[in-house]
Amino acid sequence: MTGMALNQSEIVVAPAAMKSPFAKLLLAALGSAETVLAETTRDVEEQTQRLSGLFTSLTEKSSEQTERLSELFAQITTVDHDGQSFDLVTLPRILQESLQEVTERILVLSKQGVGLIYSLDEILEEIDEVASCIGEIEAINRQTRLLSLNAQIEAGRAGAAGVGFQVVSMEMQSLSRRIDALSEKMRGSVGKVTASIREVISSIRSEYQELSEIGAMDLTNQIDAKEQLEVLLNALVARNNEIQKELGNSTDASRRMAEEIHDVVMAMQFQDRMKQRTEAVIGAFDQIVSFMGEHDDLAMDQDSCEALTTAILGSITLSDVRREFQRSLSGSEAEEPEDNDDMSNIELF
Amino acid sequence: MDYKIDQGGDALKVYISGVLTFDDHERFKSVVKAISDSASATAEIDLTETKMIDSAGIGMLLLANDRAKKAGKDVRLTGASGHVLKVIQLSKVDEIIPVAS
Repeated sequence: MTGMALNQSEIVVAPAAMKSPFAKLLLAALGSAETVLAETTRDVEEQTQRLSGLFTSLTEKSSEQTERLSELFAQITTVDHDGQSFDLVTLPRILQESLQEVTERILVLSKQGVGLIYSLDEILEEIDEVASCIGEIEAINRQTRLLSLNAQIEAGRAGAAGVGFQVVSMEMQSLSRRIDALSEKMRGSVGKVTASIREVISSIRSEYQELSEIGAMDLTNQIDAKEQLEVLLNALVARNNEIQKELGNSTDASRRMAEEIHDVVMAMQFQDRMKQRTEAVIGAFDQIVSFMGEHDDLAMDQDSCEALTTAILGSITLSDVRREFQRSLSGSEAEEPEDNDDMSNIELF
Repeated sequence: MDYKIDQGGDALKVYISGVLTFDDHERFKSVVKAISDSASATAEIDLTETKMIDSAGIGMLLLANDRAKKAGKDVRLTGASGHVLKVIQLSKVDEIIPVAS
């Protein structure tokens, strides 16, 4: 606000002319009026500037507040761990993925466990088959031994003619003993393999038992956890949306406040206008005071007064003020030489 | 677990009732064999009467599906609800074996 400086305090009334008491009184009153007007204008200007500053600072603080709110929101929706930042909303999703992974592994193990038992059962069936074959071999072998014994008896009865046959039957008996030994060895191996397989099956069964005891088998814990995570996730998303909405409202409110404050600051430009008008009035007073200072009371004839009127009107640039003075002083409407009343000429804050 | 096998229609139908857990693996073997040996190209495992299933039960269903695939057959699950349906969804079995309501 750097409008024309007021200089009413410098007004000097020429002492030379002769003055009537009324003229002196009028001069003094005009002088005081000018002073008071000028001081009031200064006061209004200062206070307006102060108010304008306060309002501008208010707008800035409101924006800062919104910014702080946004920062706070960003902070409370994330968790930092090991140098990594996790969004709270994505955290349950990560947990869900881990849960899914664990569940999938349990299923793979379950499937493999049952598949392994089925395969081992099939092997056991084959081994049973082998065992029954061994039993059959043993039965055949028993019969062979019996036959060789009969052959020996018959060879003995035949005497010298049966000597060769006796040797063959002895060999048969020896072979039969070896077959016995072999089948016993096989039976032992089959027994060991069967025992091992049954042990594996039993250990798988006990693993399942343990899994059942910790509740991993029936997946109830996983179902509960999944449902709880979903509830948590939905709640977090809803809360996030609510905060976002509130934050949006706060930003809107802040923006509206800034706009309204801008309007207020614009409205306060009345002060500029008031200052210009006051300056016009002071200028008019100035003309009168100068005129009165330079002329004797008696010299105030019609011509001098018209000259004064012209001087006064000439000193006023603000059109509406000039119009008012013109109406009062000469009883006619003012011409519009240069309109200084344009809002664009008012210096803004 | 109890089961009933119906070879009447186009698809082999297996009705499973009660609970399907690890303890049923020996009995379930007959179901797996029936599906693999069936003349039908499709087997439908009806779980309407299945009250509960554990991870071994799911494992057995997957195993039945694997063996059926090896024999060039398709398996689908029907009638699952409640806990059984939740386990099927949680384990994403429905992404491997088609589930019809």
